[in-house]
Amino acid sequence: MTNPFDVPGGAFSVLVNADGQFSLWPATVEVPAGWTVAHGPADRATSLDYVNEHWTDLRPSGLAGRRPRQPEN
Amino acid sequence: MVSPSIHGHFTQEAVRTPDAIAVSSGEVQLSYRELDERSNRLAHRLRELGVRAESPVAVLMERSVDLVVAILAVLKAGGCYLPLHSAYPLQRKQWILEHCAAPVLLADEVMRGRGLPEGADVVVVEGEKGLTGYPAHDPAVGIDPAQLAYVIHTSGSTGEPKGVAIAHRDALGLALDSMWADGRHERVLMVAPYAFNVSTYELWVPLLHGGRIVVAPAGDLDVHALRRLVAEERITGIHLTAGLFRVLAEEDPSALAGVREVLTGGDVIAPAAVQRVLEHNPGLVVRAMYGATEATLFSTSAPMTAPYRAAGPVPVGRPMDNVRLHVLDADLRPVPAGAVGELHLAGRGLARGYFGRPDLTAERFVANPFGAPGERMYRTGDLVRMDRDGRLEYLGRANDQLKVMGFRVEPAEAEAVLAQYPGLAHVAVVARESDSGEKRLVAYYVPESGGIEAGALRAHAVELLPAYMVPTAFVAVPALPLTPNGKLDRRALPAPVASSARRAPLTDRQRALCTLFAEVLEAPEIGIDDSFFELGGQSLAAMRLVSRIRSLLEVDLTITQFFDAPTVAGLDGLLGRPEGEQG
Repeated sequence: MTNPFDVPGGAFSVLVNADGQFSLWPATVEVPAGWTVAHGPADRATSLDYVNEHWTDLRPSGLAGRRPRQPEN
Repeated sequence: MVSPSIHGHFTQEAVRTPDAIAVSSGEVQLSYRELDERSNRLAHRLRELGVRAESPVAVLMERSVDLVVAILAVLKAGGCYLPLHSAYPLQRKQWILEHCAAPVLLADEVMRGRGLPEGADVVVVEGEKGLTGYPAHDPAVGIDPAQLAYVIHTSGSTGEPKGVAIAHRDALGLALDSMWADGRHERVLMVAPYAFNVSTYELWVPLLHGGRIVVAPAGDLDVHALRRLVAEERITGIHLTAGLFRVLAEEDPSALAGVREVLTGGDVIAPAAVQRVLEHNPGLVVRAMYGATEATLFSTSAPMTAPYRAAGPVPVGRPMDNVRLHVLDADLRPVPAGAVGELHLAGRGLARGYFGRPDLTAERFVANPFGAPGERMYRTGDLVRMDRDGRLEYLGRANDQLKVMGFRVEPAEAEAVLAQYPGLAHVAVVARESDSGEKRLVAYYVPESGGIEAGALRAHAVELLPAYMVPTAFVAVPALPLTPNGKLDRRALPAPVASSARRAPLTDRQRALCTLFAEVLEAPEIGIDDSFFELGGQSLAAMRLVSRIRSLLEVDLTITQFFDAPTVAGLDGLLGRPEGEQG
């Protein structure tokens, strides 16, 4: 059985939720509730590049004290 | 009031039973009050060094009471602990430290003596040393339940380890699950390497229930040492990997006498091993566990008690509190009961993701069509089947990932590291399974031109990979055999053989040792200079061998001694004069 996320040459969307979390998503499958398409459909590598570029802070946006990462002294 | 943090729950226990023993290691022991105060002092020190919310604090120490102080202190300072495995090569430790930009490294003298990664402020944690000037009260740092508690690294197929980032609420969800409520895990033996996810159970289940962590001595344990520890320390709860559980079941099942519950998992559990352990320990509960580091250690469990008859595979059971299981087909639709699908985990314990790797996070932690809007699920890569009673059966991996001695290994990671060796055209790392079910890694390589010494390639691997990821045999082949589909044809790969001329045994004891080596290695013939490890033995097989040598030859032998002299000739010399006289 091939997982739809691992299909070589597959088309993918990049989804985002209210917490600012991103998810790769097979373009052929319906988008689940609470997620919107931020990018795509595109090939897997392009989609993941998009994620790396736009998801710069993995902390969920609801986390108290969330702020841009910087060295603290 | 319910505390949002792991250490908050610990403190509540410390207030409730301040004089109970929280952690012990041989003669050294700390009460809840002492552990609380000492970790408070260290936490103040860490604050002074700049540790703030979610600062990753690396921990590189032997298993000890001080280790528990260190980890607790990191949480109290607001940071997250970043355990480094002492058996990792220095380069890998350095990579993790840099990748996570850890500002502080907590260490002990032993690890400092062996060499520490560079770039962080080093604090040596040793009893009260250097701490007496700091206040004993809690620094009272505010904690958000979604804040990170730890980052644990696992094998990654890209050739780099992946740091799984777990929040306080996830670890709390596991440690406060109702399966621990009946107190069977009152005294837990801390025996796993703390850099692996099992430490979440070994640390927080006892400490958050007023129980006791009994720290096993540093270094490798053998069956005999395990038996002694379980008896002397009156252990009631323990986790053993499926491989170790099987060795114990076969070599010395009554070593678990007195234990109330054994957790096992991490790989396929041998049904015959469960039966044998329960026959010898009728009051015991053996619990099959299934889970992933990415979903905070355990997600399902299946208790088994005597009388138990081995028949068919051991199911890994039903979901723990607030865990949801989705068994899905190739179009992400749920499969009916009894059908095979890939398991997706949702609900309690889902990690934030892979530290510093948004791409890997977005491809494994994906949108969940079956949960609340916006929720995620984790793609485990495990093939499972749900029976009509809702019990999960684990069938294997959907991808190439392997479990070797309970450790997760991506062969691609070992391959990526080996491929860096100059002059190597192709390399494949595969697992070969022995009749007793123990897996070992074998590397098959194709040199570009001329020869590459297997020994040189092994040295390269040892320098860059954790010990359990280093193949036990390196076999040069003219080309990697391929199937008609162009995939690696695993069955066409030759079995590794030892090639050197053999020296035959000369004395009765050497003959007896050769027989035991051959038995455990499932090899036809053993020379007295053949290294156990080069013949494909790994550490579980070594435990088996040491246990048999002890009982058959009636000698004292520890696993550490064996690691230093892993040949028949070497052991014979080590054992000194026959008749067990130690000189």
